[in-house]
Amino acid sequence: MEISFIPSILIFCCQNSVSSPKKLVEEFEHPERIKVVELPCTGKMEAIYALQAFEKGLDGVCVVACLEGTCHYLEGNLRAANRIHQVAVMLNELKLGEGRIALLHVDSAGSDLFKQSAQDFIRRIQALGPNPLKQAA
Amino acid sequence: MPKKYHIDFKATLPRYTPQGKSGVVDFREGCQRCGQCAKKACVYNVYDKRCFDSGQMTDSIDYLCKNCFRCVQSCKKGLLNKSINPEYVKMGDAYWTPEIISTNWTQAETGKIPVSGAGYGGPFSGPGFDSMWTDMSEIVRPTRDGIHGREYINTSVDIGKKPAMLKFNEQGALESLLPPLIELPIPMIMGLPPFGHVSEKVRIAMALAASKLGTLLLVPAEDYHDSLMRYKKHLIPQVSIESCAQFKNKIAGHRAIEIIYSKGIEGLLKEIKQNFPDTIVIIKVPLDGKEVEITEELAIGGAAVIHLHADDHGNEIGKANPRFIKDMVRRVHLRLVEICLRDQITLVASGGIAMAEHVAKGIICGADAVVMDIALLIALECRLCKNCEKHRPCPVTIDSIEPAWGAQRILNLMSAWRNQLLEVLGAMGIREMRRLRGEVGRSMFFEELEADVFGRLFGEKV
Repeated sequence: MEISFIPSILIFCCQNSVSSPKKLVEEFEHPERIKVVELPCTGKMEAIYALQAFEKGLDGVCVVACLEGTCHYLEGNLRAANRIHQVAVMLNELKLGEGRIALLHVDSAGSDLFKQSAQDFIRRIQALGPNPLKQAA
Repeated sequence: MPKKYHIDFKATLPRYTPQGKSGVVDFREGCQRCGQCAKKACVYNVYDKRCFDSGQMTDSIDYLCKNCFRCVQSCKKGLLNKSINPEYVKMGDAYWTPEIISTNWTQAETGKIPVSGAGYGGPFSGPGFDSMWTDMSEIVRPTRDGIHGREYINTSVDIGKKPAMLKFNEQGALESLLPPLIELPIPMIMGLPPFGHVSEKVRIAMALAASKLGTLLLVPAEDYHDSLMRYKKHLIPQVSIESCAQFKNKIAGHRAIEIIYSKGIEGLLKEIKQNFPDTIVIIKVPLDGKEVEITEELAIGGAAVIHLHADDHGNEIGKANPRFIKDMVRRVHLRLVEICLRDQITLVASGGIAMAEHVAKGIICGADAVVMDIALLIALECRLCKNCEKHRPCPVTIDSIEPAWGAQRILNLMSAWRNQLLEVLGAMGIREMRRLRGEVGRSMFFEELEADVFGRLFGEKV
C-alpha cells in the first residue's frame, strides 16, 4: 500500500529514559514532522498536554518512559501510564482512534529500541490516517 | 545642564511562554483532599496562573515558578516534586548558555537589571570573558545619589578617525580639515544576526530600535530594502570589494559604510574617500591570526575604523585551538599603542558579546565599541534552536513579529545593559566610557595572576 500521508508526531520523552532523543529522531525519515519534548519525568505529562496536542491537529502522541520499577521519581511512569489510558479512552469516545497515543518503556541504553519502537508507532499512525480534528479545522 | 541620555524602557511581554528553568512534577492522582493544599499556599499564585501552551508544548508553571520550594515542602503527601526542565538545560550551546538566554529574555521583557537574591554560587573564573575580573574598588561608598544621579556617567563613544593634532592659522581659526565623526550615546552598535529568520519585519524592528537609541545598525547591502530607507541615518550598509560597485546607490548618503576586508582594499578605500568624503569607512577584519598585521597596515594607510570580528562564540576564526576575542583585541590595541596610532583609529569588536559585562570587558581590552547581534535575536525570544539553519519553522515565529514590539524589546535589553555599564563604571570610579578603553588597570586577568603566583612554583603552563 502506498502511503503518501506524513504524520506529525509529538514525543514526550523522560530525560532519564533515552539520552539525546532529538538527535536520534534526526535519523528518522521526516524529522521535521516530529517534535520531541523532554520532560524531567513522564509523571509531569498531564492528560491535557496530549489532548491539546490532538486539538492542535497532531496525528500521534508517543510517551517514552523508563522501564517499570526504574523511575527516578519512583512512580512517575506508572502515573503516566494511567493518564495515557485516560486519554486513550477519551480518544476512543471521540472516535479519533485510541491508537494515536502510546507509551513506550525504554531504558537509558535503549536508543535502538527507542528508534525501532518510535518508527513502529509512526507507521501505525500512518495506517490510522490524519487526525480528523485537523481536517475539521 | 545638557539633557541626560535615557532609554525609554517599557515592560513588553513575550508572545510565547518562555522555556522555564523549573520542571514541576505534579503527582495529582494521590491527592487526599486535605484542605490545606500546598498549591493554594503559593505566594506567587503560579498554580492559579498555570496554563499549557500547546503550540510550544510548554507549561507556564515552569517559567513562573520562583524556586522557593514552599509547595514541595508543604504538600502532606509529597505529591509535588521539582527538578530542572531538560528543555531549558539543552537550550543554546556551551557559550550561549541557558542562563545567558533566559537572563537576556528577562531584560528584554522588563528593561531592568536582573537581580538574583540568592547570592552567587558559581565559579569565580572560567573560560572566555569569565577569566577577567573588573575592579570595583570605588563601590566602598554609595554614590551620592546613585548611577542616575547628578554625577552624570557618560557612555558616549566616537566612531571615526580622530586627527593627531589640530592646526590653527594666525587669527586662531581652525585650519585642519576635520574628518567625519559619529558620536554614539552607547558603546554598542547593532548588527544583523548571522542566523535566524531575519525577515523584513525583524530588520525594521532593529532599525527602529537603532534610531530610537541613536546608535547604528549594520545591514548587508543585499538585505537593505526600501522599507529601511527611512532609518538611513542609523544604518551602515555592509559590502564586499566585489559587491561595492553593484550597491553603489545604496552606499550614497550614509554616515558610514562597512567593507569586508580582502587584499587590494586600498584602491577601493581611495575611491570611496574621493566619491563620499563625508562617509566613514569601517573595515571588517576577521580575527583569524593575521589581524595584528592587517590592522597595522590599514592604520598606517589611514583607515578610520576597524571592525574586528570573531565567531559567534568569540573565538578565533578557523583555528582548532582558538584564542578568545579579549586576547586578540588586546593584542591589536597594544600594537596600535606601540606604533602611536591608537588614538587616531576606532576599534570595534564583535563575536560572543552575550552579556552587558562583555561590553565593558571588550572595551577594557581595547575596543572603542562592540557589536551586538545574536543578543538582539534573543531579545526577540530566540531560543537558539537553530531550526532556521535546517530550514524549519521558527518555534517562536520571529519572522512575523510586530516591528514596534520587537524594537521595544531591543530597547529594553539595551536599557538594562546600559544600566549595568553605568553600575560597572560607577563602581570603578570612572565617569566616562571613553576612559575605559584599554584601561586594564581596572581589571585582573586570571591567566596573568595564575602565571604570576603559580608560575614561579610550577613553571610555564603547557
